[in-house]
Amino acid sequence: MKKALSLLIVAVLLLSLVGCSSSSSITSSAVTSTSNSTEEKVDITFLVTKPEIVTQFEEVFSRFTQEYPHINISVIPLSGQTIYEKLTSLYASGNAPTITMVGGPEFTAFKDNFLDVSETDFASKVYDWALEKTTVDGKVLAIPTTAEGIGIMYNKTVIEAATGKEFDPSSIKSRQDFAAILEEISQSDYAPVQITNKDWLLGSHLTSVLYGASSSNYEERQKVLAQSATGEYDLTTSDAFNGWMDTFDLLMKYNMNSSSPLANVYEDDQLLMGSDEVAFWPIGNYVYPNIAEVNPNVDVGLMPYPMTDTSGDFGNEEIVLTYSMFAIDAKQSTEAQQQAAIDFFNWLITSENGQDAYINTLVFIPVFEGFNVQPSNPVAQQIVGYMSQGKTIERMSDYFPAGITTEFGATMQQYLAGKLTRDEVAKQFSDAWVSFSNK
Amino acid sequence: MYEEKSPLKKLKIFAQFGLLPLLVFCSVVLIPFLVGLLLSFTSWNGMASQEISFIGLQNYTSALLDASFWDAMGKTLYYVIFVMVLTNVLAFGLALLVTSGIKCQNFYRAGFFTPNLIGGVILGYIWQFVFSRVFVFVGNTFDISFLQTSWLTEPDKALWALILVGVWQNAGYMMLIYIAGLVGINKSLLEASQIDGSTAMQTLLRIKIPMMIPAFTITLFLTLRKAFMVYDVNLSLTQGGPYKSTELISMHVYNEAFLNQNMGIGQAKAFVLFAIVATIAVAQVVILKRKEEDAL
Repeated sequence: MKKALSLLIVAVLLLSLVGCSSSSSITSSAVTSTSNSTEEKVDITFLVTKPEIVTQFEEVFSRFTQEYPHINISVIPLSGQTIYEKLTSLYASGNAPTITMVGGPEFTAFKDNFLDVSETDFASKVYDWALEKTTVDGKVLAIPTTAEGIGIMYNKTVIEAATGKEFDPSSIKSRQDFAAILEEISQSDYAPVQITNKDWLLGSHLTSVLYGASSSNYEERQKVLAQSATGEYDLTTSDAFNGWMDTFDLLMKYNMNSSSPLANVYEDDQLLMGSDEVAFWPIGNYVYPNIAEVNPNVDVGLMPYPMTDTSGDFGNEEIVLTYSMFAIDAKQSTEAQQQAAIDFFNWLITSENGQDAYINTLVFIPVFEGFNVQPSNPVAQQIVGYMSQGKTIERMSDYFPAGITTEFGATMQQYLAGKLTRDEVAKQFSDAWVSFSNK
Repeated sequence: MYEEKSPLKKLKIFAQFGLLPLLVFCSVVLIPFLVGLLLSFTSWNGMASQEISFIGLQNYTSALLDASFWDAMGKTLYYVIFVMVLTNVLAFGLALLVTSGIKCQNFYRAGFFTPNLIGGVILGYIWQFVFSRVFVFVGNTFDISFLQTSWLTEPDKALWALILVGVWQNAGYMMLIYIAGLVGINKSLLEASQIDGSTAMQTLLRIKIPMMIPAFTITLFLTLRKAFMVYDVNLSLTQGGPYKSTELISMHVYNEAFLNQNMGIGQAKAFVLFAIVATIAVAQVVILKRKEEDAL
């Protein structure tokens, strides 16, 4: 009896080991019809990589489920990991999310796993210029989530109170204009500038301004990156680098936290901007919902990070435009799950309720044609304006080698703390390029 | 004791009692270890779909030639030495205190042990608040200059913040082991020393410490291993910052593998780390074991 029992346990254990290794996909029958009522229940998963709006996503999912009762979407949160870490472990364990939100580098790494959505309704609504990045061999493998701008956020209330004049962001056409207004504000009781010391901001978002403004031409910019990777691109003589650093010096000069620039916390920075205490802040519009939560009447906007002293130069009137992407898994999800994911995006992008959820619940900025609902928050409208005028800079950190942005961030933190000279920054950047490109 | 005659019977007995643990050991320890070793010879970057090619010892050369690896290793050694020494001194002191017969000693025992029950990540966040808000507030209120800026923003102080938290977290646990050691000392030895007129200090140095060598073997091994492998507090307290100056070796290895997407080099570094820690730990245990034999 005992023997039989122990043999049984051994057998069960072995079987469970075997069970783990075999692929778990293709278990339920594929359903391709699109009628809602006759279909069986489908459960799909959604990797939400913006932790700050997980609850908003859940609200959108419940609205969707009301119209498509047979589809249930559950959220996989990022839980503190990077997108790359999370996706690697999910794919390796055979639990790939049906729908994934990825950034540029993750798209490049995981694109072989994504479903071709070229023929779907929602993909046909994407602006043509936004499709280039996600089209591989003529197949559209992902669609943009929302447009985001990176530049310098200004608080109109503060500036007007400090200067006593009306403020028009388009009046700042060069670094000189910017320096003049900073000087004026520094004479008042208000703080001119705050600089967030997070490495993702300094190393990824702001370096995107640097490399994006290096040229208005796509090929030229790619050349800059290729030369950087081999160490041939000399930053010390580069106009983009020196212009970028000049503006950074200017920001540092008027930084309200200059006595201990690494001590301020990101959450406090949001509070200060929201409570009308500081005039300028290099950041992206993604922070707007948090600021509006602090102060619903806040009057902030996004303006470019000036690159030169001459008005009209490239970079002075352009903001960095960036967007993450939605992609559907093609490798580990059943056909029914993939169809459910397609249904979801068709609903979100093309139906009236979906568009309403997209604009008003998620507070996203559409990179899609034919939206009947338009964003109501002022910063989002500004970004739509920059997009429609073509005054945008490409998000260059999407092309950087993995891990280098934290290195750039560390360098800029040291510069911010006054531990490095400009030449040392240039050298550390160049060294990082060479060592990260050759690993 | 009974002995089995035929090899087949021996095998059967083994299958009944030893196979399950062996299978579990293989599946959760041995196989991952060997797969990891194998991966350290490949150019894999962590992607499931990527082709894996063998590149020999290349990962090990680039791991060993990486200055940032040795930099992180140096900081880790500094951290380990201070955490090990301070934790054990403090734990031993606390153990003496709470076995000396002071009032409410059971309450103190429980209190000193509590930090060990808080998970490392949460503990890191609590201390992050303490260092960046409470200390700064106290420093500004009472004009204490070394508290006025957050410790977490300066490289040297941030490393010491890590050390302090590490000591605070582990001292209680080590204290328990020391208490067990102290209580286990044969009373007749202590009485004999008292009759011979030895002072408290003499009793401590000549009787208590030599009799507690087994406890030291365990606590030193545990603190050494814990300090070398620290990751959770490092992540939640400083995230390796300011500017990567407190990136200890576990975090360095993890970042190399998962953030920089060099799984092969990361694995190679992990094995170099394994070799170093194993050597130090084994040497420490062997030396103290010899001491134990001398004392008996």
